[in-house]
Amino acid sequence: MFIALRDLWRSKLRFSLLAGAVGLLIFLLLFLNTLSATLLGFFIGAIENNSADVLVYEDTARRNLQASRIDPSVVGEVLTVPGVVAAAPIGELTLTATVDTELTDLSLWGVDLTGPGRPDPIVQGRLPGPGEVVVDESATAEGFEIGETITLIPSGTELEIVGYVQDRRYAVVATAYLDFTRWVDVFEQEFPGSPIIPLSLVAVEIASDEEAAVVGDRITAMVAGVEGLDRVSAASGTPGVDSISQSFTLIVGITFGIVVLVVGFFFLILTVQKLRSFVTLRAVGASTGYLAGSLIAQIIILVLLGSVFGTLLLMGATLGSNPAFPLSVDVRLVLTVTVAVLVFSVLSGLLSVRRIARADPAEAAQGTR
Amino acid sequence: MTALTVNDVTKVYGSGHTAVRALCHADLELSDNEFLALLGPSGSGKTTLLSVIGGLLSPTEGSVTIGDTALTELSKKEQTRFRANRVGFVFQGFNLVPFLTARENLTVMASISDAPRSEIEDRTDQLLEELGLADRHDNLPEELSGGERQRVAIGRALVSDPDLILVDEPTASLDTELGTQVVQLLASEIKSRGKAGIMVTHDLRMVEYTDRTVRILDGELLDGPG
Repeated sequence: MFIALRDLWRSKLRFSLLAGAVGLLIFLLLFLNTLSATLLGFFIGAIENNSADVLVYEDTARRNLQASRIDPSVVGEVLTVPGVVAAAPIGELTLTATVDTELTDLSLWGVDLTGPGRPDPIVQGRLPGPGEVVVDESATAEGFEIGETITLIPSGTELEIVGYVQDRRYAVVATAYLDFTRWVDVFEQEFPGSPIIPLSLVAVEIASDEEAAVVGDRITAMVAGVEGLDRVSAASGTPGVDSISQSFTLIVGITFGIVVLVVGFFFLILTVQKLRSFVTLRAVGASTGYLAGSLIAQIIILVLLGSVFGTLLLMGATLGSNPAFPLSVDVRLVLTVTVAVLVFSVLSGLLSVRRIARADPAEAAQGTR
Repeated sequence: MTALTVNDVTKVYGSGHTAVRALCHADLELSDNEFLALLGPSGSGKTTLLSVIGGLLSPTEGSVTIGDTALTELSKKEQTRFRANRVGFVFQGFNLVPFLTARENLTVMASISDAPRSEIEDRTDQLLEELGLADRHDNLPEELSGGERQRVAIGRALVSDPDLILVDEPTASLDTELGTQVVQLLASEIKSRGKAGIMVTHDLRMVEYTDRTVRILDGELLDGPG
């Protein structure tokens, strides 16, 4: 550490600039990951964080909730499958509505308020009664606040907001939850004369000693025309999720590679520039391990500084983010990104270590000043 | 007691038609508290011999023993450790670490050698004082004159209290007056500590500060100043 710290201190500007560059790249990594998580949360939060263990789709819907049409009788059939403790209907309608005189899109979910698929937990307010809904709290920026009234178009049905749930948004639009029987009423008002009111999903609660994926497969096998999926599979299987995830993974992967290469090449350049010093130190008895340790220590310090800088930038970005698309700092993400950058930067530093190990101490005796 | 034994050392660079014999069956003994001048023209093999003695180069044939340790029988890793603790080098180029101050160029040996840090720190302060660098201890090498840099290099060679000091052309980049002062200082530091030392030089005027002179010509050692 002795020479590592002295070198850092005497080349403050050089290392600060690099820490800044690494910090910007780490910020980009964190921001892209946060953006991706928020976007996906807005897209499939209602599925991913659903209180049901298993979600049952129409088998031809290809895991697209809005294309899934299930006969209400299926709920009873699902209940007969071993491992299923409870089953309840879920209906979803995407409508146009006004709130606070503003026209907006609304995903309206009808659920069993006390069964699987219930909006749980209510983070503020209470469960909805007749003519009432709870909304995902991210919609408050769009005017969906407790006490406001949502007016559905074209029926003119009015629903009062009485509570909030968290991370339960669907299809990136404001999402509201009400009792399934009230949702049926809304459906009939919006689509009068409909011969049947199909369910979108069946929400399933499984026995505590069962695995969701296994029960899901069992439902698929035992109930005709449906596909049972655990929440993770249902969320990741939603059409579009794969494309979004892959796009972000590609961008994040490229950025990650750039960070690691920048750190690796920088230290390789520094090593070549300081080779004379390394040769001298080896000649006077410094081991390769000692010199490599100094180099690795510098990389660790640099990446940690970059990570702090990148996290501060992310905090700034979240504070300045649009309330309708709120970004937040995920400590676990920061730690994961930092550790990943650290590990791979250290690995890229092995190029420099190899260069140091090859330095011939005998060259010290043949030098110029 | 014998501080150094060089036994029938030959060093050949390259092989086949391009082989160059830099040292030819060199034999040398050095006692404790003895300061020896190795005198020879450029290309005579002085630096090669010094490098072989210090374990920086392996001889093609022969052996080097420092104190009771057969240096040539040690592994590269063991030789590195041996150099850190038992051999002090003053290179022809000052070879100071540019991002360390004069003082740090000495105290860095605390993290390289096995000597306790407090011991190195105390010896550093003493050496900087003796070498006339007490008020320059906080300067980087680029802020020091040639003579001061050379004195820092001498300090670094002595700070880990090695048994053998190897000095390569200490006056090469200094004017006569400064060169003489540096060699006087070097001789005084080596003798006052009871160490063995070898100084490579091509400057005859410097041999008066040593106990004995050995000449080297085309890789062969010849006794006396010639």
